[in-house]
Amino acid sequence: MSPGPALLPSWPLSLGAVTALGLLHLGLHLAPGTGLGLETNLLLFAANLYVAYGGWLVVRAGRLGAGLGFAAGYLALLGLVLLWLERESLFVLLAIAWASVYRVALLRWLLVLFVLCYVVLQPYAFECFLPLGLGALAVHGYRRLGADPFRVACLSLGLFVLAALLLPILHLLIQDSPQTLAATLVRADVLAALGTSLLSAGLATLLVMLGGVPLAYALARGRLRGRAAVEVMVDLPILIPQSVVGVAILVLLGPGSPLGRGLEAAGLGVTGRFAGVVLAQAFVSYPFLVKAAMTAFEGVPAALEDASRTLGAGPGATFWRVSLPLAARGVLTGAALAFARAVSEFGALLLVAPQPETGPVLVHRAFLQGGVGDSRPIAVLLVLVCLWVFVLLQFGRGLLPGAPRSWGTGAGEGRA
Amino acid sequence: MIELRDLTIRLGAFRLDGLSLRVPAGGYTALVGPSGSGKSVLLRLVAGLLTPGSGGVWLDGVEATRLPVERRRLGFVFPSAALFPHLSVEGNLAYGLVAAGLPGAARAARVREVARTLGIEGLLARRVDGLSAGEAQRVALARALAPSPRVVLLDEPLSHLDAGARLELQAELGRLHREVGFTALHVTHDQAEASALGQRLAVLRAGRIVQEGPAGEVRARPADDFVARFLDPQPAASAPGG
Repeated sequence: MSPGPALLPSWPLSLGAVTALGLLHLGLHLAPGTGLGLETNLLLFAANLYVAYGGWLVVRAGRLGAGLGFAAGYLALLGLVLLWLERESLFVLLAIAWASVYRVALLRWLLVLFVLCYVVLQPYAFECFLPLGLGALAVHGYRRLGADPFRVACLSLGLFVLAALLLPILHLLIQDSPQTLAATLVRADVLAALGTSLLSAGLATLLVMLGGVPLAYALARGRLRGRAAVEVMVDLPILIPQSVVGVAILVLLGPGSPLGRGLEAAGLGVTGRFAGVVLAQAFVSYPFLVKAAMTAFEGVPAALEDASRTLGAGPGATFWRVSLPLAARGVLTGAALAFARAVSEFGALLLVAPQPETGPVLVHRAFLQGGVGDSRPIAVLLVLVCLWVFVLLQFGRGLLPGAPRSWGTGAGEGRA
Repeated sequence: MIELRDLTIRLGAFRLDGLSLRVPAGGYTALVGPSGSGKSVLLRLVAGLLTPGSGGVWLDGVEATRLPVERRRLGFVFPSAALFPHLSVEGNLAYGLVAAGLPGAARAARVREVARTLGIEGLLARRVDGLSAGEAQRVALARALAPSPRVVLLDEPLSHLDAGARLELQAELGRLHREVGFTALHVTHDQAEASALGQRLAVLRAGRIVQEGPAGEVRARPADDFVARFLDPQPAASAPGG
């Protein structure tokens, strides 16, 4: 015989429970005004038998608190689904699911979230359940790794807020049918705008890499006296509003300025041209690249550069053969951020170069002309394309050499 | 040959004042002293990783005081192996040869040769992050010796190793010095290590060389109490800490 606890309650208890439940449902059937048909009542009776057995398993295995939680969940389902929404079959399904998964904490919480999303927040079910479910998985994993309750609470709160922030994006993404999206994608103006966005943001990213990586390396390596001031200047494009950036570029390079007139005469004007789009995008994305690359270069142990120098490599060769390969992941992260920032630039472009149209400018124009309905599919496409490029860049990092670690690379520079 | 004349440098509160030292060509000098006495600073001055405020550094009779690190043609072994984590063991050994512009075939031959000398041919294809501390320091030593430097600077090369690996690599260092014949300046806070390897001993204290000479002579006639106590670990209570 199995040495474990019995799988069934004793005969007297089983018989008593079945009889009590039977009498309860008989009472429900006979009571006036419940409007409960015979078939439905029998179905509920069967479900309640199953739930009662599940409850017995919970009480047998655990503490009184677990039993109370089980009962509270059942009563909540009863009140919510059966009495309020009056959906008997859904109640039967959910009650059986509850009794089945209650003893597995993760499944229990996922079911609670599922009911919350698909019953209470019905119109937003998918976009609520997706982040909340993933969040529950993350919190569960965090707890299993032995995090203390405070950190678990911090993570839960943070993920909940994150889910709330993601809600509009996820909601947006499922508004239009794939057919509508496909039809929108082949529109000439949409294709042109997406192409302009990707090309200009790509060029802007290359431009800020060429200009930003050397500065990041110098700031990370030299003991520069005015370093704090330089860092504030690098941050300046983040600090000032987008429209101000646009005005500033126009004042310097616009048709009203001597420099702008000169450039225009030389055929190099920026206002209303592709070059202006790239310039404005590079301006606002520069800080993201410099800061990420600086952190990356700071992570390269100085001892490795010293070792390279003692092996006969000059400062330039040391940069190309040691510092840059080891910082490449961080630099690429910066490039991905810079690209994302460049694609999303809107305010400065509206002033400097509304033509050629980029994605965000097109979304704005479609909104002005046809409201939310017209701009929505374009917005969805823009989100999808940007996400795709960002994900590609992030995955590209994985192909690069890893960050230095372990004793083999420690700084070890204390003087004896 | 390494010759330091009247070197002076200030680094925050630390100062090295008018320091002179001569390591004869092909000689092996162990530079000992307690923590904070300036041993590593001195080594970095020789390598060119630090520039002295005044004074001069001569390598093989040529003034190198203002010469950039990469043109001093020396080998440097760091306390932690400081291997390049993005290169294989072979890539690490070849690094200095690539910098010297050695063509591919000659490079591969030299890498194999130096790997054989240090008994690490089996490791050539390995990634460096999988090596034990002893293996890593062997690779670091091989990397430093690959471009055939005439001067080798060793900064606490054995300090991160366990006792077994330390003795093994210490013996290896002695053998390599006899066979290859480079000029060595070896910094350590461990007087046993210094005695085992150093033909000459230099004792540094607070940025000054207190005594320098053939190892036997320094041990037999310590210049003062400090040197005597530092070199003789017998009275355990007075042995200076690392």
